[in-house]
Amino acid sequence: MGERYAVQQRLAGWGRSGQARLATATAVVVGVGALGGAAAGLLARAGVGRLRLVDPDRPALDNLHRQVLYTEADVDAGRSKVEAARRHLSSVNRQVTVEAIQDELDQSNAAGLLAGADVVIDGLDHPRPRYHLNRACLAQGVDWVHAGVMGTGGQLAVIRPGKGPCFECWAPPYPPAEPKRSSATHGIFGPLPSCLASLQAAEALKLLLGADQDVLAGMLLVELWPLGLRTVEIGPPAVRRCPACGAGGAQDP
Amino acid sequence: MSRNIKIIVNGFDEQVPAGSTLAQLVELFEEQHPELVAELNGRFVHPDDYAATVVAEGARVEFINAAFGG
Ligand SMILES: [Zn+2]
Repeated sequence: MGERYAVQQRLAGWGRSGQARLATATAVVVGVGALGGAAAGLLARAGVGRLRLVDPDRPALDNLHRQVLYTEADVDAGRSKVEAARRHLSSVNRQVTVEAIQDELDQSNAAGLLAGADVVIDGLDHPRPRYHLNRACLAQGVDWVHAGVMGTGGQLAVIRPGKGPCFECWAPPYPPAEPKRSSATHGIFGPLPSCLASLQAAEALKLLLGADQDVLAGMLLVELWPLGLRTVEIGPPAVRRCPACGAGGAQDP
Repeated sequence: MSRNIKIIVNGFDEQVPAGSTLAQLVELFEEQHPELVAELNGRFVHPDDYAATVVAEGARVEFINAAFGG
């Protein structure tokens, strides 16, 4: 069994000790659709010891063009996403413990869902629960990897409580308006969420391996059509303080 | 007589009237949308502060059309 991670263990700074570190880690994946499903798949393959999957939905036929974890059989069986994901991930790597929680993260349950998390993957499909996730991660001091997608583009940011700007340092003010763009109006390019999910998994693995200095700073803007990548700086808010973490304000440099 | 200043918007050099506010730039660059994240010199500006925020020569402005799907 020791051989399954041989190739990734050859990477600088990984080795057996890094692999052992992953084996005792817990990653919580909130929203197991196109982003969360693909990220969970990579984390399971990498040997993250415990994955807690949180999602209220069932896979639908119009998910399959982008949600790489699910099959037609899952749709036909009417399984929940978390249960279908648990089956697939367990068949990918039996050393990984997968918890399937069919629920929607909100203000009331966020703290419990994140209990024991070493890192959180944001696979949510609506702005609102991301504010609740942000508050819960701030309260518990848990790093989370945000991504969002729509159409042919999206963004990635790593949010580290106490070490940099939080989600509400830069997100539109709460409560968020209903997004103008949705999968129903603007569609989602199939390769896009898997691309962002790979980046989320990469950042999460770096965090779990303690490679803090190599984690994304700022926000990565990803556009696939035509292809363009850009990183923008994210500092504390310029004028008024962040309502969640208190950073920024006009007085701060 | 209005003078123009040079600023950077979404990574590109632009010329805008001196004294422009962020609110005026949002209109000029047609960036009105609920998912707008507006940043001035790497720092987020709350929508309620757009009208009072004057953009200076050399400023870096980012209008990010944030995506919240998954
Ligand atoms: Zn904040």
